Amino acid sequence: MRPILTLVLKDVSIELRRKESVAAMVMFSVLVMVIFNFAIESARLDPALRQDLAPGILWVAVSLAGILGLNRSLAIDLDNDSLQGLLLAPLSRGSLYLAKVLSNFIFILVADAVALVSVIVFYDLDPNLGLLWVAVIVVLGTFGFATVGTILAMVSSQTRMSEVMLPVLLIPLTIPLIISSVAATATALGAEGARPNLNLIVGFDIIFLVLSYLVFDYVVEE
Amino acid sequence: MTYALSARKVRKTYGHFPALAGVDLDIAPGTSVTLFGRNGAGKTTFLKIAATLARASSGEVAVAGFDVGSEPEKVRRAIGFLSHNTYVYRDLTSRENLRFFSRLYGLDLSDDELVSRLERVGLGHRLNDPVRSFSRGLLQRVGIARVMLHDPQVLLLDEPYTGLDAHAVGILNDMLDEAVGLGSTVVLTTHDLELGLRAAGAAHIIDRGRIVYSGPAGAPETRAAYLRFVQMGGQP
Repeated sequence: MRPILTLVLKDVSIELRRKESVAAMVMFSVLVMVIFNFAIESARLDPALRQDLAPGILWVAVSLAGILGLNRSLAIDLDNDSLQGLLLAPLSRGSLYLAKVLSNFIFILVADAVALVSVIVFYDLDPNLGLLWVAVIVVLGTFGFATVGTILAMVSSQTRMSEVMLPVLLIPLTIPLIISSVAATATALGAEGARPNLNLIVGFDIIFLVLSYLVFDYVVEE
Repeated sequence: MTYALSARKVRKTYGHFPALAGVDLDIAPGTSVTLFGRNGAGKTTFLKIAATLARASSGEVAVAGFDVGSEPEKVRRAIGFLSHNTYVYRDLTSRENLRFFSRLYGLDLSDDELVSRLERVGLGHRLNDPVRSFSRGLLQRVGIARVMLHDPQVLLLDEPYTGLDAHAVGILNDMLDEAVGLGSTVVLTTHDLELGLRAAGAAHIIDRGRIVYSGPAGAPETRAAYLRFVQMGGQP
């Protein structure tokens, strides 16, 4: 566990100095919210319908900002080939993967928090128990997004058009996760006291975490 | 006898290109060995396989008695690998880099110990500067400090002299001599005949993915073989 924490602290420490990945994700998620807000304002939608659109817009912001962050996530390790230094350490490749998932998860969560606040403000959502459920759904959904995104970011970093390749690979794979997260968010924001179904999201998280952990060795080797 | 490095019929292909075409090599512990070869001869590929950074297409490689395929973490704990890329983080200072890598190796080195390691490579005055501001030679010195952190049994050095000035070459040579004196094994690749033969007990020449010459480093035949295979490209 200690090497994983060491790796995560290294990523956080470097991100605090570079301020690249998280700042870009936060800016991007706010921009997505603002653009959707203008588009919906111009359509003069009924307030209730506006609130119905909020879950989808939240997850558009979360996933697009997440892709942006994941595309940058390996930059610090590819600069000066530092990833090779990590691969030479006496750790399992799986530990390297778990550490990178945790780092990405933390960074994307920061952008998620801003996106969640933005969606509450722009779509006049009442702060109630449903929003606590939304926070849980965002945490679980983002974790699943980070598990798949981390390994695909590693795969795409070895291709010529890595920044294009990541969304091309990631979006189709995460469609079940995004659809489930949007549905669960809509349930949480709907009727008072409604309990969203998290089974598919949790299942996705576990399956892709285990699969990616097992195959990461083959992704990073020459 | 447990060899520091033992290779049997090691082959590696990239697509249809055979980078290694059947390498057999035994290196005794506590010795210093140099691998010579032209660009693309297979030296780096061989060292990367020994360092668990690449997987052989076929054959067996053991380092410090551990099989690189089935016991990679034990191999990685036993080796130090340095190439012309230093693998350090440019956004961290030299001290932070050493602290980070020492923790990855499970070492509890005190701050004084880290400083002393950096002073050893002549970086005592740049402890708190991000290595992004370092010249190529200074970066390589951080890399040297990193690779020596855990006192590895086997040092795999791929063109370690790249970018080093005469002073830094002297520091590296002193550290390698000391490591061999303490029982470590040094396997290095270089194009520089004199640096390669300086402290080596044996020299091997790789050409087109095979060991084409093995002999004592000081023997006149070694220089002749170097001239033939490395400088003249293996032409008779």
